[in-house]
Amino acid sequence: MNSLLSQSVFEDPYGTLFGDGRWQITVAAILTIGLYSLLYRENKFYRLVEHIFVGLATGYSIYIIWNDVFYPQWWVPMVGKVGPDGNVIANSNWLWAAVAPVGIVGFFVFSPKYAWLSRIPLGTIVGLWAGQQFLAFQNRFIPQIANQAQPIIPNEWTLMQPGLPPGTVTISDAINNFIVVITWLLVLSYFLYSFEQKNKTIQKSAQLGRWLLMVGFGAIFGTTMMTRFVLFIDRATFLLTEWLRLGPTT
Amino acid sequence: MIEQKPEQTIWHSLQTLDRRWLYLILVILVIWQVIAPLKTANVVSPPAEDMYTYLSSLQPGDFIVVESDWTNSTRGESRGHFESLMRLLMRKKVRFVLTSIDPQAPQVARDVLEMLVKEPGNNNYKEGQDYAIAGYYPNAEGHVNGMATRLVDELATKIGRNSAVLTGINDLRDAKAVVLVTASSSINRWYERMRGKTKLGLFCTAVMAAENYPYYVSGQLFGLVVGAKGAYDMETLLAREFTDPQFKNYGSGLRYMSPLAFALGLLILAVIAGNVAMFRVKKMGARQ
Amino acid sequence: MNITSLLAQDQTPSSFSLLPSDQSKWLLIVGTVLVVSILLFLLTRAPSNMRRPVVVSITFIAGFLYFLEWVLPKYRITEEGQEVVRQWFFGLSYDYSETVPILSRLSQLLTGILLALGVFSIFRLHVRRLLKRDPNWLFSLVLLSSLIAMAYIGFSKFGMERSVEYRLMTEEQLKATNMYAAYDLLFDKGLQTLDAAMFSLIAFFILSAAYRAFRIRSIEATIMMAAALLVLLSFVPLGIALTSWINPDSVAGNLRIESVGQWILLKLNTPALRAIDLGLGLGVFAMGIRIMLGLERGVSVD
Repeated sequence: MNSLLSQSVFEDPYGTLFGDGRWQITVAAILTIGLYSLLYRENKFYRLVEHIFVGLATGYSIYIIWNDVFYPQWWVPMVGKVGPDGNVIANSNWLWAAVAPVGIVGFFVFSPKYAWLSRIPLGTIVGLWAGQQFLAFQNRFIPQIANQAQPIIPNEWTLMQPGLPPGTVTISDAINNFIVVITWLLVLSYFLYSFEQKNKTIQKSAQLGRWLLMVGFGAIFGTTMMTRFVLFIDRATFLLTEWLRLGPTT
Repeated sequence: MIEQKPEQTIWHSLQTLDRRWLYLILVILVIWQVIAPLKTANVVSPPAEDMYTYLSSLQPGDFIVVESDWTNSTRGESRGHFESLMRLLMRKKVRFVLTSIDPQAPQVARDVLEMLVKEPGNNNYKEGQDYAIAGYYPNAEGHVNGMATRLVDELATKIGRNSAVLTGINDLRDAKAVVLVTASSSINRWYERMRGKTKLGLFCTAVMAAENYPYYVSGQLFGLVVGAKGAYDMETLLAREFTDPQFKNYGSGLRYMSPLAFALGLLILAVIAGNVAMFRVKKMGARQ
Repeated sequence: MNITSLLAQDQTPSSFSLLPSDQSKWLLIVGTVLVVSILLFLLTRAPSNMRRPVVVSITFIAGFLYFLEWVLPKYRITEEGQEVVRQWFFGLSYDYSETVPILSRLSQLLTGILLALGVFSIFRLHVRRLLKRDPNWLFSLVLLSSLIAMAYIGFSKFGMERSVEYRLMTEEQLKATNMYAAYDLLFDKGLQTLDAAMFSLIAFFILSAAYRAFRIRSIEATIMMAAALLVLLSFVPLGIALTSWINPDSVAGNLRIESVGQWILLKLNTPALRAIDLGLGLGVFAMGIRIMLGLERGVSVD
């Protein structure tokens, strides 16, 4: 196992890029420590690094919106493209030019007088989103509801065992299926908000539904903790292994 | 008269402990475990095994769509996912196209791929021939609908209609699977729009595990790989199939397991200590 | 004949598309921009009670285009020896799904513009702070400099990738360029490192929050904690090791940590979250219809 650990992903991938590559990693490490200084208390170094972060992210957005969106999906289809050996890659569909003024009115949101015009591009996007919801609901939730219909009466009166033909419902299957069906119904009953629940049975079932919901929330809480810790472990590995070259690397 | 100070016991101080002590313990534990990790044997979880089994059954030349929506903000989990997925696809000579709905994700994926193609066993994958990067699509709903309805038209402006990667592919039905490596809820767009044209697989951060299990159970997902443990599962399965010592099968999944266990141990102890302290202090209050 | 697919003809020239070498395209492009701009200008002159109907109808039409895709019956016919899908649409028979990539492209472009709007507003905010000599103007200066540096390097990369020399360069030569080094420094060592570090900070806050706030005071909290603990343990090999002495093939094997964790996720968590999801899904579906009909506040109504 220890030999596996020494076979690491962190074989300084950057070292090969420009000679040694150490000072770039040091820059990255200093920035990381700058952010971590917040854990001690709020300070100027943290705020400086935070502003660098927002600046870089915004700057990158400008570039990537042009490089991955406007250039390939708007400019090239509009003006056409010729390949290096003179072959036509894309024809010019000049009608795409119509998108430019429609998009630019989006910026009128800053003008008090013409702000309403910015609703034209916004309304288009939101409308396109809304139109997809019919298909979306059907595709996503119908299989979910269908999967809730499960056999709760065993057709083979044995406990679970390997080698049974498909379609066999053992006693343990039936119990599990019953739990799945009843949990769904109980949690749904908890969400009957629209009118006040005076019925004792519904009140009780809503209470049970609440408890079962807590199992789901517990699972979410547990897994959330895991993700957060792993993200920190990843940074610690970066600082210790990639920067300071401690621990199992190569 | 001197005001009688309430008795200060260890339980009181535990309740008012400066959070920075807790931070310090976490840092020390993690540093120790990163430098000297413990050995741990793995039991692969069934949803991850399903993912591996299907992907591993693909034939050379098969085509799949990979949507990579992770950046370094979830590097600890997603990078392990992405690396193991890519290693498997490259070793099986499966063609793939990479798309994304996160602006920074394509570059992050490109950087990882650049390293992976050089590894032994990964068949010297070449962009434009074995795989293509279609890049960033800001409107996820529109993009996924386009992919599901007319795959080639949706990708044409980015990688070209005649790309070698798309040879013989006319529709999403021709793809053997769509696999997402994601740190956001982008998988929902696929549940909503894929219309059963092909199989859907998911590599997600542990945070998203609970909400995606229902889709695995209903068969809308053919496999589900979750968190750092999922990455370790994939690595374990890779190591089982590719035994050549030159091949690199393990990565961050294995590396992070031991520090993670200790960090979680600290969490459990902290919650227990907090609760015990609360009960003790309450008891003392009742006695007075 | 397909009206919408006219925009998609990137390869076959037709009356709506020109060869890239045809310079009259510029005339048509400028003309289109002018015509649309004039139309939009006329809209600003329209009486103010016209505004809402305009936005509502645009929203409705946009949504209706996708609605049609969902609702139009599809049938397969043989055309010139090939089986093709056709959908009936206002007496025209063609594959309506050809519309979808066009709609996708339109939504990519408009979403891109809205993102640019966000970028612009950050830029505007910090330029203002700088000019007004706000107490934090130095931070704004740092933000603007890193923004400009990243964008500048990005666009240099864009330019370089379209040059003749770029095509002739080997990977090693490319990586030796200063441009590439600067891009890597800003993107990988700067942006991505900070991205990772920023999100990893939450680990500490969530740990201290759990320590302070996670108290067993009710049945709900107890159930939640027990479920969290079992799921947690089932996801780390050291947790799994706690019960690894139990034979997995025996009946007691169901009590191994990883089996219990999976059971919770599959049999309790799944139906519970499915119920929440269904509720949310119905809500989103209803909102979609409200938006299309112009009833949703904030979209077409203030």
